[in-house]
Amino acid sequence: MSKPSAPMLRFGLWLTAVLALLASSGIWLLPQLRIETDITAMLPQTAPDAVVEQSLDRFAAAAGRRNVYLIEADAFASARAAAAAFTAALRQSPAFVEVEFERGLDAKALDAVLGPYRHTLLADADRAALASGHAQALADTALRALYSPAGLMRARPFGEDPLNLYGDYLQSLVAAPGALQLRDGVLASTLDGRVSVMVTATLKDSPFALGAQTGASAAVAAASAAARSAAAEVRVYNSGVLQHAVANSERAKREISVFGSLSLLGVILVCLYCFGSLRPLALVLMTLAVGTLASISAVQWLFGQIHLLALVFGSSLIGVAVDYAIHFFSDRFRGVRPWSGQIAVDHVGTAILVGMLTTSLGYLALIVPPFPGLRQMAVFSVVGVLSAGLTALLAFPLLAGHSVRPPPVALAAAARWLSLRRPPQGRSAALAALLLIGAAAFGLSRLSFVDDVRALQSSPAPLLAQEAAVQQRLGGGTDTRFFLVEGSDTEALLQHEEQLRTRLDRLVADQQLAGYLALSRAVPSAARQRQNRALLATEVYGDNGVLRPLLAGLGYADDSYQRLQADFAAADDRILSLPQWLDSALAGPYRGLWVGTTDRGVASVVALIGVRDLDTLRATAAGLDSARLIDRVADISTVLAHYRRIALFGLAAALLAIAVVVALRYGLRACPRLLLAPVGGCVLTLATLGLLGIPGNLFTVLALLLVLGLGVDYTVFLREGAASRQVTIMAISAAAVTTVLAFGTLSASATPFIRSLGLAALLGVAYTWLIAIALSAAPQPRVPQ
Amino acid sequence: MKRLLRSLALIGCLLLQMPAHSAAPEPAADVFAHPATITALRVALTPATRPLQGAQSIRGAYRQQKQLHELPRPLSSSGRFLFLRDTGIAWTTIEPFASELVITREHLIQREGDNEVLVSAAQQPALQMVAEIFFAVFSLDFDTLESLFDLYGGANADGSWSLGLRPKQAAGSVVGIQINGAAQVEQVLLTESSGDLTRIDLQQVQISQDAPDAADRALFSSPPKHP
Repeated sequence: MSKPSAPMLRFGLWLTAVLALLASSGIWLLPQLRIETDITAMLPQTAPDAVVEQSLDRFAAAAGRRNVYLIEADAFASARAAAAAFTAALRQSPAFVEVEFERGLDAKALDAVLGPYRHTLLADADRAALASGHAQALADTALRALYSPAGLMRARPFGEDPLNLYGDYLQSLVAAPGALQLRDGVLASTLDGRVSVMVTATLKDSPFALGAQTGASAAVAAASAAARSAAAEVRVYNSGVLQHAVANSERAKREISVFGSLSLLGVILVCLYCFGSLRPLALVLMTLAVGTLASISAVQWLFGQIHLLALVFGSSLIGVAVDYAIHFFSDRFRGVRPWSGQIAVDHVGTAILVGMLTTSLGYLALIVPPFPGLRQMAVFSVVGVLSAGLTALLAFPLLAGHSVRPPPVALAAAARWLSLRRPPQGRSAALAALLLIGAAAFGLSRLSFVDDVRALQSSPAPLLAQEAAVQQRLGGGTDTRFFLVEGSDTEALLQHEEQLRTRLDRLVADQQLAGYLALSRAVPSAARQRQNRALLATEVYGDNGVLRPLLAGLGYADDSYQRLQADFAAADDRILSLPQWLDSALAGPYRGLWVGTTDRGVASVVALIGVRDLDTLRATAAGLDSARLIDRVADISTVLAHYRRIALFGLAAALLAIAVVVALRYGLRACPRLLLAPVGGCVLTLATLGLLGIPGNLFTVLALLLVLGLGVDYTVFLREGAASRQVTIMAISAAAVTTVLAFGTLSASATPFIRSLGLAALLGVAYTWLIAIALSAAPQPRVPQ
Repeated sequence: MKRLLRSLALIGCLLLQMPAHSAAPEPAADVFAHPATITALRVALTPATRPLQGAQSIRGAYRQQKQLHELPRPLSSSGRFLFLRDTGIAWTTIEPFASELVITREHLIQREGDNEVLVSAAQQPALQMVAEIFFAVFSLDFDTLESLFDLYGGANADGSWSLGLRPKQAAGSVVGIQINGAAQVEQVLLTESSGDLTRIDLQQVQISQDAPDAADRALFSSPPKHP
């Protein structure tokens, strides 16, 4: 046997690579494939430092796992019964670790933990009264209360807490702003004569874990059915990240299958129509299979997971990766006989190679912004494009066979017509160009950019309506913005919180803020607890305090006063500590506020409720070194705007890089003509968006980078295939159809940023194809053919 | 004169009905020995609940006696009350201090002379609870009462009735409520955990089907104060 030929060697190389890919993916990759569905995992990590990130992890992650369900019925008794049935059903599910319905947080339980410390704990209002010398007013109120029903609303009987100071403190603790009230051991709210009972459930895993989603959704559906059969006229309202995560991943899965099927169908139809036999189709499908497998493997290997939205985006790759196979088989249309794969490679190989590189450059631009999701999309696409191109170059020569078929009549006729078209010359050309430039300039002047991250994510309307219904019944929910407070130790932290709270209290009084949750409200700093004691010692329990005359006036014997005084004195060294409170069963909603030990000490979150004005809130923290307002939504939006501007420069840089590749291959003078199509495509796309009033964003600009990479292919193919223009036009038109189809499906995505990307790419590719054809259709008039 | 007679008649009735609660208030444990169902109570209390059907307002005078642990003599107070359906309760103390407590579902107002303190329900969810208990007791709304309390009591031999309420959820120092009445609610007894006992006698109770007038309504709104 003689030395194997070069085509054999190349095929062997390709086969080895594909077999290695198959083996490694079968053995290693597929068993551990992890699909990420958290939309926020696509976004950049904006946290300016580790402590903020820790607080986001802790506070936001805990909030993400927590789901609120409101079971609503006509009367409290039926709502409660339905909620009990709901809870019992939900507790059956292993997807939830904690389902809370009956609250342990009653006055008795609070009293058991806090009772021993009651002589150091004061409600803010009472502390202010004592500190400003208004102790007598408290005593007067206590006295009057004995003669009216107001005196019945006390935590402890008069003899144990005459001024009801401890009662006031407990009241301030359970007083969460909102419409919920403790009723028969459950939290209930009334709206329009209907009563809702609250059930909260904590997920075992992240709401974005696909496995957890399936289990949890089924459990919630079963529990809702149980609630509805337990009483009449029951409605169940959901609120929580889970339902959004489920909706988003279901939507993404649906889109992958729909978009993928449509693109694939398009590819199959185009192949069958253009090439009229099964062999090209089989090879095209093989190319796609290799490309997809290589892409998924690469992303899983590099990132340890693959994002669902990267897969949605990747479904458009079908339309792009198929281009090289189309160019390859279009070579059969030249009518060279005998035709072979090797002849095709000799003819279009360079064009495929240059096209592959420029397209990859376009996709690589997605790697620049620090968006994990975009980087996955870039790796997915680059690997897919390269493996598809290499498959065409290395494997096709041996597999393509020798049969030659003429192009379908209609395609050939269209291509002939296009290739013979002369663009308008002279004055009419100048006028057309002027009009086009004018329209483009007008469109560009109207183009606006919107970088708000909220505009780039969306949830189905019914879910948002449910969310609103829950908020209405709860009387407001916790804001996504919060204060992060830090301290070198717990005591410093609590003191810093108290400084912040003084300012927040003013906002609450001015109705700029509905309320807030802070650890230091339950557990004052040790310094403040000592201060409280000192105030109580002089103003209330001391010999000159208000207690003695109050009791004497009512007719108590002095013994009673002395007993109270002795109780107070005996509690001298008792200070309630934060860990003690957090470890108790009562901390409940407060526990999520504790961030814990950080690199700089300890940190906590002050959660905000009902924020009226953000600027006022920002101003509130001004001058406080240890408290910062964290606004992740605004932070991400700022990052989006920042990278959108960078991406615009990146577009210019990519243009330059492609210009260098083109100049190296075709010379500097050919550059403007070759680059006019992709550049014109980008400009016209932006102008069209402007005219349509569709705002652009980072993803629009990233799509234009793709257009640049893809569009250069068309001009490169036309340039390389100048000798057989008609065939090249057929090839790039078939390729453009599959690409437009792929991005066209993306522009129908329900995920706004994929939609932005798809729409811009769709317009860009279409314009680029038009311009490329128009330019190439005019062979240099003075150069005879 | 008429009023005096009616008061005397009422006191007479009280003496006849409840010899156990004669002079000083003391806990009436017996009612809590008889757990009751909501249906049984509906039947037993029909004489009292019938006039309440469609009642727009209930008004009258009250006398409160509070017996505190360690205090030898009870604290007495008196005044008047007004319950407006769907609006709230105004509790006006005349002796020994002039003060007024207004409870609605939206807010609590405490008036003393010109001084007025308003606490909104949003700031104090427990307030809504208190309002609800008061409304339920006055209008004998058994559904609401049953959701908050374990129910006891029933009809007595003479046509009067006693209703016992024990909180299902300990929410404060009150551990038991007893309501006595015949044609209407006549007496409320509240027991606290320390043994403190509050007894409220309702007198000259008038139930009206008419819509309340402007003066009555004014009691329930708080003029916004701008110091």
